[in-house]
Amino acid sequence: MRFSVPGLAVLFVAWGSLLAFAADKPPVENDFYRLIPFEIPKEIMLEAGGIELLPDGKLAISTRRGEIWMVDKPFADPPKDAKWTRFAHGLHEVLGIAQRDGWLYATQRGEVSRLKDTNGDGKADLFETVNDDWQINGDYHEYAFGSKFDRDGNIWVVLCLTGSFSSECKYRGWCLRITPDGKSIATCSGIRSPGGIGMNALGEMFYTDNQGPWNGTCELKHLIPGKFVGHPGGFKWYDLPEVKAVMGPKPAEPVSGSRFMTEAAKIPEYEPPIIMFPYSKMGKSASGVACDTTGGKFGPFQNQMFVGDQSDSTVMRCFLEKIDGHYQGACFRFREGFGSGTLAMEMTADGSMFVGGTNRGWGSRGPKPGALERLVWTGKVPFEIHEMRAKPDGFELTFTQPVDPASAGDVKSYSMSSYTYIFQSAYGSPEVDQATPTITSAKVAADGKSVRLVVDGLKAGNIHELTAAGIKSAEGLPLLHKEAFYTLNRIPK
Amino acid sequence: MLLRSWAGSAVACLYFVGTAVSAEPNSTHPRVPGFERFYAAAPDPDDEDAPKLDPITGGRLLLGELNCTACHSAAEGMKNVVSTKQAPILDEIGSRARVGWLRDFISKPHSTKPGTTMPDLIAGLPEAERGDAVEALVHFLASTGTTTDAHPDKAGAKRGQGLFQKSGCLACHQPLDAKVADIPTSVSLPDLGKKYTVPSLMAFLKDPVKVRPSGRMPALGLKDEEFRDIAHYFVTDVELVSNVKFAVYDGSWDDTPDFSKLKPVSEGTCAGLDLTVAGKTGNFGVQFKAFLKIAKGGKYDFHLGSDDGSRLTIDGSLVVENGGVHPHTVKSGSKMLEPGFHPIVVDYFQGGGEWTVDLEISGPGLNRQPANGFLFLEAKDPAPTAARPGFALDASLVDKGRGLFASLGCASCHQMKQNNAPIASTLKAKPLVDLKEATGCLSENVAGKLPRFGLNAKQRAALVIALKGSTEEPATEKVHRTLASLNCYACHKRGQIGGVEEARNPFFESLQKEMGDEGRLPPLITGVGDKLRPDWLKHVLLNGADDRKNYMVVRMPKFGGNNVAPLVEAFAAVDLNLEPLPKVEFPEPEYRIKAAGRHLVGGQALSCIKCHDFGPHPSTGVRAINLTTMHQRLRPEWVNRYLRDPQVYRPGTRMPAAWPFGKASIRDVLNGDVDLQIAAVALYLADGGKAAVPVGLVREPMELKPVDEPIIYRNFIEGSGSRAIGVGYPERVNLSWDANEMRLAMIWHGAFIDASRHWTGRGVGFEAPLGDHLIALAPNAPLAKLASPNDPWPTALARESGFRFQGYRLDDKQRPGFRYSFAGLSIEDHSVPVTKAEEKFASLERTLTITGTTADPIYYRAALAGKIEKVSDNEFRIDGFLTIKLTGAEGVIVRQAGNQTELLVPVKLVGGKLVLKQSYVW
Repeated sequence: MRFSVPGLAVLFVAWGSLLAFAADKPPVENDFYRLIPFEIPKEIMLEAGGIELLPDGKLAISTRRGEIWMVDKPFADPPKDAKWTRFAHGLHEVLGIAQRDGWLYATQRGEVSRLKDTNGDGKADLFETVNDDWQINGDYHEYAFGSKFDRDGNIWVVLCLTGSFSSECKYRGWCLRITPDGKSIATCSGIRSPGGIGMNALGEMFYTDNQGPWNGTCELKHLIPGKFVGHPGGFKWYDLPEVKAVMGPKPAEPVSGSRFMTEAAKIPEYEPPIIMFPYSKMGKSASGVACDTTGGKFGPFQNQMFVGDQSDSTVMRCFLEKIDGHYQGACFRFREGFGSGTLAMEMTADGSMFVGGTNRGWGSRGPKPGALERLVWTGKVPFEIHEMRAKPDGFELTFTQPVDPASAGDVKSYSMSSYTYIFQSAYGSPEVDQATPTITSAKVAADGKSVRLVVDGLKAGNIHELTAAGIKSAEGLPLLHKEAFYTLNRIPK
Repeated sequence: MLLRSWAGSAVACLYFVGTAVSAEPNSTHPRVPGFERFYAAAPDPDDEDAPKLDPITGGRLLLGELNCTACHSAAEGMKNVVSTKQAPILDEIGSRARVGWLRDFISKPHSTKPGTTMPDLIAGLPEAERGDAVEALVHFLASTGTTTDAHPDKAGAKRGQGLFQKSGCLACHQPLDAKVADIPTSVSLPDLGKKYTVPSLMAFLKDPVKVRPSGRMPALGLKDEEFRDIAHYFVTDVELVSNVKFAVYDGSWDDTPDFSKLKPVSEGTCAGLDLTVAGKTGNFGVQFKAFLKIAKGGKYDFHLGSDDGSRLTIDGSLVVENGGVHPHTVKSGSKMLEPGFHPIVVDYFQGGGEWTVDLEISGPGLNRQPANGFLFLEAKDPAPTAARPGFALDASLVDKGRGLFASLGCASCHQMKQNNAPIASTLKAKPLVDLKEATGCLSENVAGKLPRFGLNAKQRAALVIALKGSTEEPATEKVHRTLASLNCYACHKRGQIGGVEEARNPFFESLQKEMGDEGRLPPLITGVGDKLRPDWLKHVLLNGADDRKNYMVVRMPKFGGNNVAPLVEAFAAVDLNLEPLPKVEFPEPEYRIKAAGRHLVGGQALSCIKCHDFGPHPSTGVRAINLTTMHQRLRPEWVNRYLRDPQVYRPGTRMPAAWPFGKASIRDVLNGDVDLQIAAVALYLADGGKAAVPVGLVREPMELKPVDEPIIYRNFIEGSGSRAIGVGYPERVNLSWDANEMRLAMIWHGAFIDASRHWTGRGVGFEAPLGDHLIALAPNAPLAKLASPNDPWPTALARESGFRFQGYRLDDKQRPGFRYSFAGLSIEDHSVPVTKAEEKFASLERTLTITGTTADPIYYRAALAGKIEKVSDNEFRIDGFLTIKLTGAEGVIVRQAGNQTELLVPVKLVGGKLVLKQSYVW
């Protein structure tokens, strides 16, 4: 490797990229969803753990360093002269904020608190403990993620295990609901290491858990009161009378080395992951959860859910459907290139998705130590698989734009593989039980908006990875994202 | 069910063990792990990904592992496709194996060590001759040395068990735990306690290749004491015989006394230098006397270790002086000794504290080992006892045994040097090429004088295939056969072959659980000849490796250079991808490119250092392999391809793709050009240990300095619990409040706290206050219900006694008043700094406002200290340095609490309220 004439080489590189653009370039994510980064003042370390839009139009951001910042004019584009003011400091790693009745509720490591500025100086002066029924030992992994208010006014808190492996003090590895009057209700057991929590359009609660023991890969899980979601490390707390009263007796422990659905068939309390994010294909650290309830202001994905990935600095998209009374569905790539490791996500009514990040402790593709960005729809509809629905003999794909019937009707435009992960006490899992289902027919609907795939060799319990590399839109464009990953826990009858 | 990887499914594995492989736990056919794993079972026809293996290699594997060519001469072509496993070298077998074991093993090898590859040679003799033949062979083998026992060490055995379980032994061997089902690929272990003594097993484990030169048992990179512990785990029921006379003396000395001038308090005999004979732990002396048996004349070294002093005398002359009062210290000395018995004396004295003595010997033909095995009560060999059955070498049996060793064929496989020349085998056998199916050793029921290997049908069939087949062997197959013979596959997967078996998977542990399997299981060796630089590959193969010791508990052992060195070229020949590095033209001088590489690796770009150690600096997250070793270890061409898509080379790795889908995620460095960026990282890391440390590794202090307003720091603060709330005031006085116990936990002056522990990396652990004059105040909640003022202060956790933390309110100067409830009362605990011109340091004025009503007698504990002195009314001096003054307190009680003193204030509410003030001046 030799140093050559510098000017010439720079010119060469620039010339190269110019040529690339000159070619007939396929659409990119940014054509449809545009990232608007905030310029964060140098003195602020904005490791964003929680985001909330306030009634006065300011955006509140809570941080891992325990501060809460207010940004005025968060919708300015670009947000150049945004004013940053500190509303509070000295809190313990705030991973969830929500406002109600003039109070800002903050989920800290050790408690849910509510903060108020009673003297109008713009800074909180009253810090009330709403609930601190869970315990912490001083392990850095004892994170607490707090939700927004559910329809009953509860905040749901998911509590990471001690060291993310065991439950050394009360409620580690549990989900609690904190009621409006400050009581806690044990809600789900089986949490390992959450990365975010959020609701769907119906107000049901979901959280992400991360690859590790009893989690072969990262997943989206449905929090249903009374259920066990996978890691038995916190089972001892079933012995508490207040837990027994609402949760019933301790479930049977899953057998290590088994499969998610095998154990789900045996343990009635066990609710397996509803979407598995295949490790490293779809990130490595699932994080924030948001739902597009903006009625079309965020583009064509109304009521779909979005999940962040901290290590890949991405936001992924999730389609969910209910089969036999249980959610399951597919995940798709959606948007990459966030400035730091995606953590907090907040959808606002105007159709903006605010995304905050951090890469402290766990590296991320986005290089910044902290970030705040707003993702907006440009108004152009990308050519995407809109939904992927399970059918008794295959899948139905719907699209955001009409497809070209020739390519979409050709089975050679698709390929499929399936696999799952071991449900085990050891850390993570390789992909196992691989199979190669065969797509035997692809029938395009008359309106060109959907394709019915008949698949030979569907396997309940497996993730079905579909690559639709060959299909084109009616306008001749390829899919913006060609892969879909369907967690086929159950095959509909 | 289709399986592509080791993990398979539990169901599939049961199937595998249960039916697919002839798991015959009680069978005695020779166990060759590579054969059992890959050739004994027919491949699953439903598994399209099952590796296609040529059965001829299975036969060749057996030809080598059973050492067939030691008797049956092979043609050159056949020699090239067989790697023989040389039998153990027996030159010093007498100092390694116990006589009883030799007798059992020679007479019934297959039942004494099920799965052994040694054939039964005795069964071919007429029944009447067998006993004599065995005895003659035993005498001959035992004539090469003697074994010595060591004191059992239960603690050592326990540690040894742990080491056996996790150091990698179980990659090949079966756990001793009878509850673990037999794994068909386990290399047989006999009852090692019957075969070895602790010193001889330890010596073997340290360097197994010395006596088993073909490297099937490699040397683990453990420390001497770890080998000793493993030996203690296997060798437990040792019956020790008294071999030393002792005399105990009482007294206090500061050097080893002359015991001849003192009168012993007790005398007797004991096994070895046993200090428990003194019956006490301090102020005693012991003189040990015995006879040292020397078999071979020459210079011997003695190593005498003790706490406190000791002295070694042999034949009346001083050999080691280790006098004075000291911790365990080893001193050495040497002496020329003739064969025969020599009077030996060890004098020892103990003052106080630890008490130890041990003596080791090394000399001609003796590795350094405990001397105890050479010590005897009298100057002659002891009479046989139940614990030590008599065994006196019979010269005529030795001679007869030597003859049998040559004629039976032992010498065909085993090297046994006598007078520096190996004994030649006189057994004649057909050349390999003349061997026929179902005849000779390959008969189902071997008859006549032939050796009995105990081959099963599959093994016989495989051998026949190899004997009949051609002697062509592709290079890839040769590599595979070598890996199978050395059982590299027990740990490493290459392509679709091998890797840790499901049944052994739990034995592999990680120190960094979060790294998952790649932190636990040895690396894939798919394409290893492409991945590693030849020099490094050679280094790893020849010397073993511990580059992954920060996370992987097992280490790469040493198999012996002759056995693995050919793999260096063989791997390269098969694996090397000759695709050159992409041509890059650096747009800037190299030093700038290097700086760009450093930036990319650092915490503000790709953050490689969040997972990888860098030189002496631990990473801030998991402790993945050191970045400064990359250049030395890895071929740059491989690195270049690997970085673009790590999953291709290490499926399931946590290593992220920094250039996903061929695009740079850092766009503002080197124009976002992927080739340039990768080249820059490589150029930077090529500096190895000299590369400048990247940003983000070295934690810089982040002192929180209150200027105009207090700073609140809610985190894990040492001395203040997991729910600590630190407050640093601009007046350079600080406090920490414990929201678990509702107590003012600590107060201090000067600097507040360093936040870097919690605000860089993951924030592991508790941080202590940064300033000075730290005072830790009383533990437990400050309020309690006491039925009587004499009741002890409760120690139950505040939260379990009904205390509830309610948060805090900031006053107009942003100073928090902490709030909690207890027994129907609401309490606010509010401290403010007070500065006075005459005082150099600020004091604190604390106000406790208690409101509500209660029927219970409540007390406030204002102080708990060693000493509380009353200075004036309601003013007290605490432990001589802290002055507290109480205002609003009535009926203050000073009372004794164990060896401490407490200051209690009865909580008397007037109109539902009490305001108590307490100042802290120090």
